[in-house]
Amino acid sequence: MAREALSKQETAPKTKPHPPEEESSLRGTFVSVLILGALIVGSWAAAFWLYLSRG
Amino acid sequence: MHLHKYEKIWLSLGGLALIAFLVVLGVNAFAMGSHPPSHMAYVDPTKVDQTAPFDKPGLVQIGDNEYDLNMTAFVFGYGPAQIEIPKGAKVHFNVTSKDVAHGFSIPGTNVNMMVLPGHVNSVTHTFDQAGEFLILCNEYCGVAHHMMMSNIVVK
Repeated sequence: MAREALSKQETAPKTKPHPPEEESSLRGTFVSVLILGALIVGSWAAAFWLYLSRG
Repeated sequence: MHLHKYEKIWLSLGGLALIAFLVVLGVNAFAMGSHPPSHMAYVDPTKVDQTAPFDKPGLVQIGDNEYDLNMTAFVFGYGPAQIEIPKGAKVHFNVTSKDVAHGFSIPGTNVNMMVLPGHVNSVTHTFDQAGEFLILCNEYCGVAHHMMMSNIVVK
């Protein structure tokens, strides 16, 4: 019963089409990626500076 | 394949970072001469005391303010235990172990390597500043591991 209902639901024609991808906002993701990238580059640069200063 | 504008930006940044890291690595390895301390030099660990240059460990001048410093590591110390180095000298450390795996680290410098029986490990450092430097073992080698040290005086 439940399976039939589920398959009906899956095969039912979609009335609402997916919004175009351009509309999805990735601003938050973008900012998070930039913050993470800056952290990685910053820590690498600090360790490399330490290495050079001790050479 | 459709990519979001932001995705293109962060993928480009990631690619550029990868290229930058590889360039720095290449310049370090090929222009600045960075390499691992192990370089396929071997010695019979049972005959270190009879094998040159470790039969007379110490400083050997090889150029204008450039030296080879041949040292041995053993439980629980280094030979020689006290070394004097002229200020500004470029020193090539060649170190081997007479018994077990030891460490060879000079805090405050980039000198930090393992010393293994049967292998001669090397590292180069230029002592630009006068002062006292400690050589420490940083591989646990036995009950008196924490007492294992040697002194370098730069003047």
